[in-house]
Amino acid sequence: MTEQDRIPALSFDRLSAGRDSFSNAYLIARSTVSPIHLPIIKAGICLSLAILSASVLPLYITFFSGFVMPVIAVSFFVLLSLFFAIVWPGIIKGRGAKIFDSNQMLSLPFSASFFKSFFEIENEKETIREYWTEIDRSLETKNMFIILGGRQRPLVLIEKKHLSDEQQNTLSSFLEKVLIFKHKKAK
Amino acid sequence: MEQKRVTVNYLITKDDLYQFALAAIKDRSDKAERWCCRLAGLLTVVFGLVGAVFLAAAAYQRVVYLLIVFAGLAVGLYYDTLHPYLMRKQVNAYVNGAKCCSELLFFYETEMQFALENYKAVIPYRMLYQVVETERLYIIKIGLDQIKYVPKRAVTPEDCAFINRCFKAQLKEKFKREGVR
Repeated sequence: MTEQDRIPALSFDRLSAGRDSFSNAYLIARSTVSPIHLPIIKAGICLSLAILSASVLPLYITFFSGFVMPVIAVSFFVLLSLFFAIVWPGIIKGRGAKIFDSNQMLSLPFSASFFKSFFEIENEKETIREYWTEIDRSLETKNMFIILGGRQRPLVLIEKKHLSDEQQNTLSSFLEKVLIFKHKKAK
Repeated sequence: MEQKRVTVNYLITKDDLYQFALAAIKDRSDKAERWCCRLAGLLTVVFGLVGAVFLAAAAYQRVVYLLIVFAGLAVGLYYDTLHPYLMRKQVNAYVNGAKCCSELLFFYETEMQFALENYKAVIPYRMLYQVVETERLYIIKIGLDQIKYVPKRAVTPEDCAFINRCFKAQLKEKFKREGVR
């Protein structure tokens, strides 16, 4: 490691993460693994299957002289679609909240230092170093930066409310530079 | 820190990772779920055998019933044979792809210290989420998303007794022992 690598390119103090923002970040992280994980996509698939089931209703009546099975299928897929659209996000957020509650380190105030080849999170009890090569991806939303896939801390959350506008822009362009295609700006 | 301390220094091996993966899955999965799986497998096997012996009228029907028997065996033995096998394959793939580094931990009477390459921490036991002791390792859960493990092969029996005493005193019901004599 050269001397230059030991000097942080960016450093932020007095950061913290709340339970609600952590559970929101967890939901965003889960939803962006792939499009299929988005609640709206899951609900859409189920709705399409419901429409498909409804479309075979005339054919079914012709051949089997009954309509019970297609109606059951349509009702099932419609209910499943509502489940994914309305209930599912709450369940995922609940899992995030459970993780936050289980780990007392997550609620401690921390500082974050960003280096050329890694970043460090430091709180009262622990110092975590994660190398950029091991990071899965990072997301920037309206309210937060989320760094995912670290070996020690799978989800690192930095809320924008703790950063000035200039710091937000600097961090955003730094993440774009170090993670290149792994950094995404979510709406 | 003037307390008695136990030092644990070890290099992670393939077998450690495998044992950890098995213990973690056993810890995470529900006992009822495992028994339901075994029962469902047994019922499917019985159904398949009854069908093959008494119900099959043609050869192709017998083949279908025998396939049901095999499916039942796969379901019933999933947790005991198929899952550990798949897990070992995954661990092998992980070990071949990632580096396994040495780990250094210190156990004190009221807190523990991690001195790993990427993780340095001094955590009081009371801040841990849970500790599970199995026959071969300790699973230390800092939180549900942050789990460490210590193979017992790296700890002497006397040190094991000290660590257990500390965990029992500090963690109380958060310290669990599974399959330990």
